[in-house]
Amino acid sequence: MTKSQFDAVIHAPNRLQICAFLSPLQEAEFQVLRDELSVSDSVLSKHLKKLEEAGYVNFRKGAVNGRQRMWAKLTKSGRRAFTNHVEELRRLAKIVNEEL
Amino acid sequence: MTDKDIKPDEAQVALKSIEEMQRAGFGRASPPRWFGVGLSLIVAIGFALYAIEDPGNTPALFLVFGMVLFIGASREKIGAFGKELPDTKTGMWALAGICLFLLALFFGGIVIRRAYDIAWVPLVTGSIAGATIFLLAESERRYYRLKAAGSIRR
Repeated sequence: MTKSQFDAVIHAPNRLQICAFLSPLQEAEFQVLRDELSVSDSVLSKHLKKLEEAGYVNFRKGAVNGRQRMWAKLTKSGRRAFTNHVEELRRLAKIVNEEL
Repeated sequence: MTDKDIKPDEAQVALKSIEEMQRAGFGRASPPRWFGVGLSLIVAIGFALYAIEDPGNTPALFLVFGMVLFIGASREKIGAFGKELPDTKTGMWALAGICLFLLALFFGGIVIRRAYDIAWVPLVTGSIAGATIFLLAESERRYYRLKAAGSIRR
């Protein structure tokens, strides 16, 4: 029996959305992520911190028109964990479809 | 976390949410048309100028520098940026091929110009380089738009 690839850090709805949004991208700005997820700054910060602690996301700070901006990026291990998690979700969803 | 912790229905909802967010990501990172136009113009002018005058000339160096600044500033303003390098080996080979083609065009233009003193060669190499960059930028833009619309799955 193979070990399940579900990742508890990624599976929380907001964190799953963050990873999904970042997965096809090189990086995305904090404000863009906040708008897409429709959450407050503090909620997004909290989830990004969790992902950072797990080593799935890292940050870059930069200035645009004199304003400080923060960019988030999925790390290699973050991408791997997300891909594995999605594969497990697909496997589970496929079982349901086959049963129907 | 195991299969028992996630219900199959929950898995389907999560997959749908993932797909929507990925599409949103592609939509956000879709480069604007002016980006490709601007980039191809800078490359075309840079190629032509470099071939007209001697290698190491100042205007061409300024143009290359300007190009880097242009890309950097545009990237910061877009707010989300697509992957810089292709994911697949085929994509990497294609990128290497394009780089080689542009290098050959670049030095070929200089060599032909010097050897035969044909005035319009730099304009031709510049136009080809600019058109190549424009087509690449447009095809990437189209790919991002189709991904955002959900027309391409993988």
